Amino acid sequence: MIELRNVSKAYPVNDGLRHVLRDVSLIIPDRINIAVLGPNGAGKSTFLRLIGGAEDADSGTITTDSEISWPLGLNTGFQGSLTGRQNVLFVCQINGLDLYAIRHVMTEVIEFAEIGDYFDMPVNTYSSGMRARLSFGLSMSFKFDIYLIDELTSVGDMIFREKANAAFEKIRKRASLIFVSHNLKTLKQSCQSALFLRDGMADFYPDIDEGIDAYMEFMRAHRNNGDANQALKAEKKAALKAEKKAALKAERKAARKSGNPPEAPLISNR
Amino acid sequence: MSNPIPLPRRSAWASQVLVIKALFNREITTRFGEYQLGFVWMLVEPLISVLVIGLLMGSLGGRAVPEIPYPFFVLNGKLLLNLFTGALYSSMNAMSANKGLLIYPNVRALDPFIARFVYELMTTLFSFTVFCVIGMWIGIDVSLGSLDTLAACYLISWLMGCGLGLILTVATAHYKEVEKIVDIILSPLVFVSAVIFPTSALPTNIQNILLFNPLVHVIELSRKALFPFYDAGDANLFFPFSVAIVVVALGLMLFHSNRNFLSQQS
Repeated sequence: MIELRNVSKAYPVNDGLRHVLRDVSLIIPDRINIAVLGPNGAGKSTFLRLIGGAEDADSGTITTDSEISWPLGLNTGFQGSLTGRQNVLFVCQINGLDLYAIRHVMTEVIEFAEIGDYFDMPVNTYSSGMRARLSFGLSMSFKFDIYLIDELTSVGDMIFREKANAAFEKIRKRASLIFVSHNLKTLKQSCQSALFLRDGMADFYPDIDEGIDAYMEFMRAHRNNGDANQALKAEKKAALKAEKKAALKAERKAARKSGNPPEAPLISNR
Repeated sequence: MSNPIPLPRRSAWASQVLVIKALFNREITTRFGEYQLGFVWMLVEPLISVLVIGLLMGSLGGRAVPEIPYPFFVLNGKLLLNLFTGALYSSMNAMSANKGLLIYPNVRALDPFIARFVYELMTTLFSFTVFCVIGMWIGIDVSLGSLDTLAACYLISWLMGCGLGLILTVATAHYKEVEKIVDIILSPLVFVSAVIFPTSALPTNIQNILLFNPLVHVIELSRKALFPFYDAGDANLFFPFSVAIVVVALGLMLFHSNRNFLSQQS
C-alpha cells in the first residue's frame, strides 16, 4: 500500500509554477496493477519518481510498507558512457549485493535482455529497444512489491513484449505494477485499476474501464474546446525541443568521439 | 527469471557510503577507461605544465627561489592549484553527467559531487606522493617534518574548490552565463596564486594584494612545510581556513535549498 497525504509538487516554469500534484491525498492499494493515465505533461513520470523516492515532494508525505522499484524509463537509469555490464554492476553496488548475488543478477539480465555483444558496449550505442530490455531485465531480477514502469514496453519488439508480458504474468502473484503508457490496449490488458492525473489532481478508479472512459472524455472535451490549437502548438513545441535535444546529443557524441572533452551545452535545454 | 533477489536493507549512512563508492568506481572507469595507461596521464599532465612554465621562465624563476629546485617549486604549487580548480570544475557538470542515475532512490543529489570531490583529492594525493618519492630519489632534499601543515594546505585548497564548486553549480543552474564568467576568471589564476613566482620576489604592495587570494597562503605554506628554509612571507593558515569553512557551509546550504531545482535542470 502507498499512502499520499496532502502531497504537492510543482515545477518552476517561465510564468510561475506548474502544479503536477496539488494537495493530493490518495491510497494506492496493494496487489492491483494500476494504469496511470493523463495527457502529455500531466506529470505521470514525476508521479512515478515521487513514489519511487527519487524526488521529494514540495509538501506532504508519501508512506509505504512495500518495496518499490525505481521507475523504469527509457532515458533514465543508465550512464551512457558505461557499458551495460558496468551499469548493472553499478546498480548492484549501490544496493550492496555480495559477489554471489551480483553474478546471479548478471546472468539473469544477460538471459532476459538478449542483447548479445552489446552488453559490453556503452549504453549510448543502444537502440531504445535494447535499453528497454536491459532496464527491464535488471529490475525484474530484483524482488520488489511494486514495479514502476514508464512507457518502457512500447518501444520493444514482439519478442520483448512477449517476454515482458510473461514476466508480468509471473510476478502477478507476488507483486504489482504501476504502469504509465499511452497505449490503452496494453494498459487494459495488464491493469485492473486506473489513476487519472490532470491539472494537479489525481483520481483513482478501481475499475480501469471507468478510468479510461473518464480520460477519453477529458481528452475529447479538450479537443472540442478549441484547445486543439493549443494542444497542437504544445506538441509542435515539444517536437522542436526534442529535435534540439537530439542535435545537442549528437554534437556531444561527436565531440567525445573526436577526443575533445564534451563542451558545455551551447543550447540551454531548459 | 528464476528467483529475484531481495534488496538488502541498510541504514541511510551505510547505503550512502555504498553509493559514493559505486559512483567513485564509475568515475574511475569513465575517466581512465578512455585512455590507454590512464593513470600515467594523471602524472604527465602537471609535469607538462611545469615543463612549459620552466621553458617560459628560463633561469629567471630559479634565481628567485634558491632554496627549492624550481621544477619542484612549480610542481607543488600547480598540484595545489589543480586540486582547487579540479574540484571546482568537476562539480559543475557532476549533475548532468549523472542525471540518469539519480532515479535510484538511494542516490541522493549530492552523492555524485562527493564522489567527484573524493576522486580529485585521491588523484592529487597520489600524484603528490609519486612526485615526492621521485624527488627524494633524485636527491631533492624534501623535508617531511611538518606533514600536518602540508596536509592542512592540501585539505584547505580542496575544501575551497568543493565549496566554490557547489556554489557555482547552483549559480549556473539559475544563470547559464556564470559558466563563461568562471572560465574567464579562473584562467589567470596560475599567475596570481604564486605558482610561478614566490610572493617574496614581488614588491610589498603587490604582495599585499596577492595575499587576498587564499590560494597564495596555502601554496606558500606548503612550500615552507616541504623546505623549512623557504621564506613564506606573511602567509598564514587561518585566513584560507576561514574562507574554506565559509565557502563549504555556504555551498552546502545553497545546494540543499536548491536540490530539487537542480535535479530538474541539466
